Amino acid sequence: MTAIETTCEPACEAVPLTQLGKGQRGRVQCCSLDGCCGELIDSLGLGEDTLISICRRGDPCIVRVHHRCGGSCRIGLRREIGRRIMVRPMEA
Amino acid sequence: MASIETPAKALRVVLIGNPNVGKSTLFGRLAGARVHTSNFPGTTQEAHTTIIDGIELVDLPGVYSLGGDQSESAVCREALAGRVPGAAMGRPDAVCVVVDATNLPRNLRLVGEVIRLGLPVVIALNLVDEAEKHGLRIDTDALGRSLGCEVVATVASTGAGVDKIAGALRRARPPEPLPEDEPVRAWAERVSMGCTTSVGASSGPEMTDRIDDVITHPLLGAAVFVAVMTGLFWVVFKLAAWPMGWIDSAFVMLGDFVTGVMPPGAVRSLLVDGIIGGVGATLVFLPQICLMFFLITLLEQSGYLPRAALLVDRLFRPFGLPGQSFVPLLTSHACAIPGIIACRGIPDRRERLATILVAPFMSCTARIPVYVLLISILFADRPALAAVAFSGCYVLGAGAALTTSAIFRRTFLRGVPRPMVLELPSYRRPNLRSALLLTIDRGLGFLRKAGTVILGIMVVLWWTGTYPQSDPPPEVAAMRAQAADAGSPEQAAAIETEADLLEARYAKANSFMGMAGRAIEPVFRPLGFDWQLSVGVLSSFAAREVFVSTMAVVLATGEDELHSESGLRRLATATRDDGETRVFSRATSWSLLVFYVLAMLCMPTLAVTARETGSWRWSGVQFAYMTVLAYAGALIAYHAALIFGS
Repeated sequence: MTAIETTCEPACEAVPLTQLGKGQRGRVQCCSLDGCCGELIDSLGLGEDTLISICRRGDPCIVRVHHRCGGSCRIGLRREIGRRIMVRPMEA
Repeated sequence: MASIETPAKALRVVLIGNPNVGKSTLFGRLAGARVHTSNFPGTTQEAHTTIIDGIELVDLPGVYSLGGDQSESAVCREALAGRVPGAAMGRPDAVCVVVDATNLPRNLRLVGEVIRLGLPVVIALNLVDEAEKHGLRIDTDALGRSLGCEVVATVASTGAGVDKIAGALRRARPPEPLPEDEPVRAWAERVSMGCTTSVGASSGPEMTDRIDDVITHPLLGAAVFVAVMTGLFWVVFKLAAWPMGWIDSAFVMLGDFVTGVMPPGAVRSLLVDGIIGGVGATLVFLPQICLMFFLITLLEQSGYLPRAALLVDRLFRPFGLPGQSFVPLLTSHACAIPGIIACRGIPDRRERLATILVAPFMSCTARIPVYVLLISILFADRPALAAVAFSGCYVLGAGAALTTSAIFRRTFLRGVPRPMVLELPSYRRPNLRSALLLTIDRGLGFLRKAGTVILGIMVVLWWTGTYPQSDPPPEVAAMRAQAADAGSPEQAAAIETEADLLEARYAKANSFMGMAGRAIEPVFRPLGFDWQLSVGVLSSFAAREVFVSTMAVVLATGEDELHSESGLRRLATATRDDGETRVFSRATSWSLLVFYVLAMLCMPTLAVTARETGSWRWSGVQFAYMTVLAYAGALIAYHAALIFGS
């Protein structure tokens, strides 16, 4: 039912956010969703180069967005959105 | 509520911020009970306004950004530009941006967007206590220097720092513009880094994660969800029963008092039967509505509701509804009107429309008296089956809502759904004061409606049910003569009561409403309704619960008697014009029950749908669909009951 375009070209090591394990960290490489989705994701802080970690896997999943200055916020999102957010996994 | 007078030289200020930053709590702290609630002209977004110390303060909807196509963002853009049509406010003199100290970089993006508008700005840095718990300390002076505006550290839930905001707003000047060559996001990161220091380990997020492990778990979370919802409804129905009884008694006493002091006639009838009886029948639900709003606000402030929406999202998805539809549909179990208003939180237009259109299927409190009456007739001596039937009414309503949504979302409301992306705020202790103020505001809104729309409808119904007046039938005169010759005062009073009821029934039958009932009877005949039940259905358009009192009058059974076994038996055995067939036969009772679960019998709800969707066309769709479905459902139930001899 959902038609969300992915237009970014992820680097080889990037994987969909949904492939990260619980507690695993990653850095958002691209999340080129269509207009309103992209704006919403970005305005919630899930933009490019953002450090994230997975709080809950599954559908919907819960992602924590880590700020460089400290502090964080949690975002809940459907798996179909998570699949279109490409992240570079980081070592634990 | 009367509007708040604006002093001639009031400083005009708007309050803006991300959702979940404590903006409404802060506004409540500043405003107290002096809040005027209205809609932003031409929109469905609520505008809360107050005057404090010569400052006119307008609370804007929570937004993450001024860009984008969401209605909240559009309202904020227009308000900041002074382009709200019809509003006398003009461009604001200053902007107070409420910022979450635990989430500074993202919040500062909105600050950057506001600074670019060139307006004087003050920052209310809220939740500084929570930031400390998260191991963060923010240097407000450094932040103020970076932004070029005054920063006031606040804890809205306790009121700390709130008293400094008014002074800061009076001193506010437009900050220096943002660097042209630096994106807002990078600027926000840089400013945050420059004023934030880590002070020890943080325990907040880990605790939230542990709670989330349970709350959002597919099985444990579902169990918690069922427990919370059961508790919510139990409290609403059990606790509200007492004040509902008091309100009911107060209106009965008022009616008796007016009856005692006024001479009989049209004016007394209008006051007692039309205004006091009609408005009282609606106001009796005020405690349930207030309690429901209060508890929902507490759940929202605690951080549970966004998690519940996330959990329900999976369940709702096949029906084309987002998780955000959960709160409006939950609220609709108290009353569809606040439920429809709560749909403003659903960002996607089609999903919002679908939720608005199906919300009245949820069994609201006004249906309960009708359910109780019909189930009492159907299962008089079988309490267990009666309980199953009562629950079945709720299930049927919810099932119809979800099925209807699935149909609408695959036909004329088809479209790409907006992704379910929700911020999950940290768990917080709810602020009772803020919840209470919001509940008072909602309660006053309901009272305003009862005093205007419902009052008007009740007067019209009273008029159609009272006129043209006809002379009582000869039997009434004979009964009164019999009462005069009765052996004892008790016997005389009993006969007089019988005569009054017969006279009321005769008057109702010959009134405009009675005529309408007879005229419309052929339409309802396939469902097993006679003209008397048709009158009951017609009167329900004011409010569903009016059906019970109307039937009591039409069938000449005192309403008070309905609560007694003999009164109920009398109603159950009341006959049609042929003197043999029962009005409430088993098949007809089943048919009526299904009809009342599914039918749109509430004019105020239709009016709110029109207001919230911006068009009476959607009210028409809602009315037509629900009426056709209710008719078809009742027809099936009637014939099934006849075939199976239920």
